[in-house]
Amino acid sequence: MGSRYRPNEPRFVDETIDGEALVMDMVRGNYYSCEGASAVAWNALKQGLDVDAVAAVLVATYALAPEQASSDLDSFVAALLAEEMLVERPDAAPDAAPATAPVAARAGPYEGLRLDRFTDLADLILLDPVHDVSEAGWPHRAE
Amino acid sequence: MTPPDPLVTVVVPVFDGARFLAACLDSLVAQEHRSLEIVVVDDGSTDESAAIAEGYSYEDSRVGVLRRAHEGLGASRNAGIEAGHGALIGFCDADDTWKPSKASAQVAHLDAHPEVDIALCRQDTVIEPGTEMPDWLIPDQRYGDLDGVSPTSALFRRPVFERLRYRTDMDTGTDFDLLIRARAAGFGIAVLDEVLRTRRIHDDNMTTRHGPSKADLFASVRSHLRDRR
Repeated sequence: MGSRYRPNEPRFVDETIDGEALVMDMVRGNYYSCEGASAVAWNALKQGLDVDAVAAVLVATYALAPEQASSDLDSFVAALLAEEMLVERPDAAPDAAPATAPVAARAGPYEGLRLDRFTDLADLILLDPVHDVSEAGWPHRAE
Repeated sequence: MTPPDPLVTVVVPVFDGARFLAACLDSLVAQEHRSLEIVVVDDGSTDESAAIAEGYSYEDSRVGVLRRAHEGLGASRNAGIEAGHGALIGFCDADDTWKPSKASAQVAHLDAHPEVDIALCRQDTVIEPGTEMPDWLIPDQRYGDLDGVSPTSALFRRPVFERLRYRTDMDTGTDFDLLIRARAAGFGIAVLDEVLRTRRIHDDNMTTRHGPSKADLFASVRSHLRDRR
């Protein structure tokens, strides 16, 4: 069994929409984009699948050769670890046991696994971007 | 360069904020920078907010009240911008207060730094008695205290709003979103080291602070990323 990981929370927060995972580093202010297969891999890793299982998802979704999936995934995980976005969790079971990764059903062509890092908003993200809000909004969201 | 004694418009959007509105307005009329115009935008309140604001307008001609149907924070701020006449524009939410030197310090900074269009400042935090310390109050990454720098602290040169307006499809993230778009539009942003604003944390504003605001944060960064591609 390959290594399992979890997101480095609460430092990193993420959201996936339309096949793009956006991850924000609330300590350094960087933000990251993972599109397509990269978003699939990020979300599968985030759910606690071990790297072999994630590689299998990539093989099944994009009809990759197993060697290419493993090689690309190793590089991708190394990049995520270098950015401190993942933390290893050797004994943890997956949060869920999905047959495929969350966005695999809408997968497009395979374009490799890539982590794009952006630093242009760091000083703004490191401000206090969250303003006070009540239970219902500001302070009460419109009905 | 700004004129020697520029008019500063302070927009105070309020919706059912009667509880702390008087403290907010007291802090504004007491600003050391006297060339001030305070535009209270009542966003269809059902409490005494508008009456409180009108009471101030009878005592101080610098205070005006704009009553509107309820549309939300972004729309209220935009309405205040359009109603105001200041060369510089700032914002104060109804449960927050400005330190006496806030306007003057930010005016001085903008006067001395023509390359800066938006001057922010640090804030301190008052936690209302009986309110538990919220667990989201983590140390600020820049200064190491619990207070941070709120985008709401900004004093803007008016030309920023000749090109940009607050988004009306989000609530709490409108001010951060505007800063992102202002940066992309080439406006200079600076943070003053001085603590010039007080954020009030009370039982009506703490519980969901990270919920909708985080969604707004992602929406803003996503829009920015789409624009730069």
